[in-house]
Amino acid sequence: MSVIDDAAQSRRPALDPDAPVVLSVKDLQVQFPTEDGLVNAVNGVTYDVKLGQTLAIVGESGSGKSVSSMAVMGLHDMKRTRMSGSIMLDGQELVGASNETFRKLRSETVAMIFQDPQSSLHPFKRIGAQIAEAYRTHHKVSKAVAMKRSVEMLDRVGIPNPQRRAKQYPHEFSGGMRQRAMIALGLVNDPKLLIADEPTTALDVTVQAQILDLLNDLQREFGSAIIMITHDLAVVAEVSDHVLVMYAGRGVEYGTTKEVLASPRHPYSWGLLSSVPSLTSDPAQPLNPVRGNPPSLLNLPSGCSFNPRCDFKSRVPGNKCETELPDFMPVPGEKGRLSRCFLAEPAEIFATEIAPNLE
Amino acid sequence: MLVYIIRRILLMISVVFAAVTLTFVLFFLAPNDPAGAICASPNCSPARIAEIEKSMGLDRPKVQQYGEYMKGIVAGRDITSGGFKYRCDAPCLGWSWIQNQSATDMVKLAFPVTVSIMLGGVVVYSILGLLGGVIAARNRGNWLDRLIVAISQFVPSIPYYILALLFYLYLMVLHPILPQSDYTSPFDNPVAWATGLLGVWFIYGVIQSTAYVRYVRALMIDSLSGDFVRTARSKGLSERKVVINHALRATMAPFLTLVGLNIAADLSGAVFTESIFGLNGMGRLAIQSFNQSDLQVISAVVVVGAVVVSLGNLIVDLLYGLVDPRVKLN
Repeated sequence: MSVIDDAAQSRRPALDPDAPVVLSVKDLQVQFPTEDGLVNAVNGVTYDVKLGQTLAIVGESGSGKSVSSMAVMGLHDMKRTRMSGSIMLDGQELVGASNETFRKLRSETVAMIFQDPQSSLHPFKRIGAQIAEAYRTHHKVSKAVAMKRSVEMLDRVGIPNPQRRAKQYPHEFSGGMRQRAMIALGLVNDPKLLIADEPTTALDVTVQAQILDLLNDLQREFGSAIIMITHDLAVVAEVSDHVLVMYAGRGVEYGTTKEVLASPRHPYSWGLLSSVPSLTSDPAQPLNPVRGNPPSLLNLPSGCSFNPRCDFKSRVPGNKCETELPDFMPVPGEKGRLSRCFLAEPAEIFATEIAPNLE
Repeated sequence: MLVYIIRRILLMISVVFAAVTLTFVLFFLAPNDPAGAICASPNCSPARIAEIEKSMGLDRPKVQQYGEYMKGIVAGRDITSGGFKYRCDAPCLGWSWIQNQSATDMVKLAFPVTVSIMLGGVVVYSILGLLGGVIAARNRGNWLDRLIVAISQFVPSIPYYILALLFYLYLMVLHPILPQSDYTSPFDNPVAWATGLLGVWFIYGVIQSTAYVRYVRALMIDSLSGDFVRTARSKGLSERKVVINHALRATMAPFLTLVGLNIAADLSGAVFTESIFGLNGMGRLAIQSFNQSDLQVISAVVVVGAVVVSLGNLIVDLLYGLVDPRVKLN
């Protein structure tokens, strides 16, 4: 199995089952009314994140992974967004909360690291000042104190010569350094929850590994919860404790990282695993993508959203996959795992039909 | 930085030199007859005209005249007109045979008027353009945005001189809400300077601002959807800070570029503005000289225009370096 780096998983601290829940999302729905109709970006997603732990949210573009996390930050334009369900952040209900409520929570309780640090930092402002601004928004301190804090943070995220670097502009930083600065910005107010939206997608592989290591270290030091949004299963294996696989705005599989990557229960997760190219296989062998296209969020398929692309729906009697939406149900006999599928014996199918084809 | 400025000033001088040469060539290639303009009576014999031309020095080779013209700009020169000798001090931009006055002196009187109108106008249309553009972009798609866009489309679809004239009639003559236009030197009486030009600034600024409203709106819509604005929001900044300190800040560089490029357009617009409001600036001077075939004065106006435009561009480029740290001036 190429995607699971067992060593990486064993490096992660043991899970504390009593850790307090920082974020609890329940049956969250996010819809955007457009001229073409209602875009159903998130259709009832449910998950918890505990302090000191990392949840990876995996899925293809349009699966609702970013949209649901942006909802936690309140970053959607509420005039153009419909939201229902519940988001409890640190004991506070955020669905329907005012802008002012969100404003106080942002950066202080929940911070976000974005995909492209080049465009996510203000091009005309010095790095140090951008970080200090976030600190001063939530702390009544002088500019000098905030700047000192921002230099400290730059130092902490491994930027050499932070005193001088703080006075530079984003274009004077390399891609990896910019993402480090973004992380410093995210952690400057010591938030309980850090949402990292594909933080390594724009970086090359060596830098990617450094950034992931840094996030792991910082989590140990700051003890914050992390939501890692990604489509890269190698990243998932590297940093997360739990995985939520999303499809068409719903969770389809949930479990510990080890369980989900080693023996997934949902046909979509099988597809994701099978599509990872292997370094050792024959280069002439074609890649094995999940066939078909992601569904239109304007008009979701009836029944299970994945059914038009599912190779196993014929194994479910009575055409049920096309007419009925499966619940996000506990997997029998496996505590804490959830799957949204009608298949009666997914473990056997995976073991006999999928696993042998994985390199 | 200093090296850059020096290099740009040298470049500017060469541009102005080219402009001076071009206007000189135009002056001599254009069908003109300064001697005939002075001796306008029908019983003016060709011999008399030749005599006048000789006294003006217009019978000499063109190259020699060009040399004298250039020398006049650098060091000044003597002019013979109507049998009298006049001293035209440097920078001598030519001589008005009609007014019997150095073109430089005429420009010196008119130039501060035009600059005053332009400066106040730039301030008014920058403020209105930024304000209107930001409000429209913040309210994108709703009635306020549509109203602002509609006004900013409708106003420039009417010719400027008609609109300015209507504004003048209604706001200054029929209902004198705005003070009558009048020019006083700001060094003599700054209050009178400001009140005398207030109406012109307002009318000129309002009409010119429409293009900026649309431009700033487009820039702001782009910048408000930018990733760095999302970052600013995710820091917990107030909406006002997000819009002004982050989104608007990012639009300043292209905005300044447009203002800089429009300096030339502002200069040509001065012709209408000054005629309508009765202010004796460069535009009016050009029209008056044109009507009197006073070509040396026209060429002086053109040369000064060239200097103003290249100076404006230099200032904008320097400001650009201040606004956008990615621009290195060297």
